[in-house]
Amino acid sequence: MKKYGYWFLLLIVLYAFQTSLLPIIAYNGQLPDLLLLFVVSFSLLEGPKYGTLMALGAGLLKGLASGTFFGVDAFIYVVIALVVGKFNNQVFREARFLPLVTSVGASVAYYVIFVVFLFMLGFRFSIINHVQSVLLPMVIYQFIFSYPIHRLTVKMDTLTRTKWSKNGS
Amino acid sequence: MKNPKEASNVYKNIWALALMLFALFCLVFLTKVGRVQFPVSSQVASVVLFPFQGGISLAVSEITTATTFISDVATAYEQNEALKKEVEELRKENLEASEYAAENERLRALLGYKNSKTQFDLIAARVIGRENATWTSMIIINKGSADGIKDLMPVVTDKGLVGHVVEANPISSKVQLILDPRSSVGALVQRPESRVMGIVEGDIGNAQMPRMVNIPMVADVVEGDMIITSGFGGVYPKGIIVGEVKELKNAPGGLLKYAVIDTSVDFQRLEEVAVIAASREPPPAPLPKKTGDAK
Repeated sequence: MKKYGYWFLLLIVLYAFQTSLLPIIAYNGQLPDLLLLFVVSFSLLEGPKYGTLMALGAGLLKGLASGTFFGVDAFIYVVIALVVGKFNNQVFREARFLPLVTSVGASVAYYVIFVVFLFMLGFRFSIINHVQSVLLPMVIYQFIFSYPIHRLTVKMDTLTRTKWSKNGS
Repeated sequence: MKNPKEASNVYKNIWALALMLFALFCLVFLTKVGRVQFPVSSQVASVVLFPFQGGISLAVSEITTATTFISDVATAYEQNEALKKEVEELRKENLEASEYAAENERLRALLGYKNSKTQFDLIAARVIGRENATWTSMIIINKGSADGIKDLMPVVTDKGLVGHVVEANPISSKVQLILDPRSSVGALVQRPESRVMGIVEGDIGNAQMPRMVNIPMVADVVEGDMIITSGFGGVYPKGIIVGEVKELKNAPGGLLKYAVIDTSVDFQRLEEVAVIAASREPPPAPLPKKTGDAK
């Protein structure tokens, strides 16, 4: 149980960083989505089952804390975790390339699903302008932050595995 | 070849996953129409996040102050030489400037600039978090219901309108900015000859500039017009500055147009805001004196 407490604390700290520190580097109102990057890395390391649960937790936290339509982030995170988790057995823990590519791909997938939701919710806007003003800065930010977040997740994963394997639980 | 027990578990997992995704999908639409709300859970999340967001926000503020100080010290010598020269020139101008300042002060008092703000009871607050997701624009402030903040209270700065409180938690509150596509503000053109009304709403396609919609094609609105709140809708008091018309565009359908608004508030540098806890009608202008009747 304590193990999950550590992961939950990391989620909260990442969200707090995302909303309190990163706005100073916002471009055109866009920020990196650290929770999405974390969900991607976690799913790569732990597989689809635990990845999906973490994605659900991260999505619900974001939905509750941000005031956006509740459930959108949780839905998208879960779908992404499910797909990314399939690559679980193909990633070396220290690998750089796949986490980077997966994070950028996941961000694009996040954007595409979000836009579909927006259209279903009745919002209308110019896709081309939106891609330029939202998707491009988002992808660049995600690319920059993906490796540090992946390293952080690997360290946390190693820490929890070592600690709990020693404790025998 | 999987044994029956394993196969059964796989089916169970698939069903659980499908059910979860379906539930989340439905939640999105139920939340949109307001059928589902999570006030308690949302408050718990805000309370848990508050110390982290508050601490990081404070640290960022301190670091910014420290780096500014270091930068100032590094350039102090050069600035000192330049400033010595400037001091001499400024001393000469000082006397004249003092006269202008005094005159300016009197004029400001005459115009009742300060009195114009007495119609609002303001609660000052600091921005401790910001959520700029793919399409939402919200900020989190460090004042909540314990400080007298309630839902739907307007939020302003000295420059103009910021948004309104959408969720007042005990120690913090969420503020929906006027840039948010879900936000709509009753507004009108300040120019006396125009006074055209419309609705200012966030634009998904342009996260930094909202737009004023529902303007008839023949309406008298030009670029550079100042837009203020109309007071209709019951949330925002009348007369708060929203921004300036940057560009006019034709709306789909050909009967209406919309104005792209350059907001008077710089949302990228929003640090302190004021929440309007109560507002009254502005005091009426004094009646002109009837000099002929005085005896």
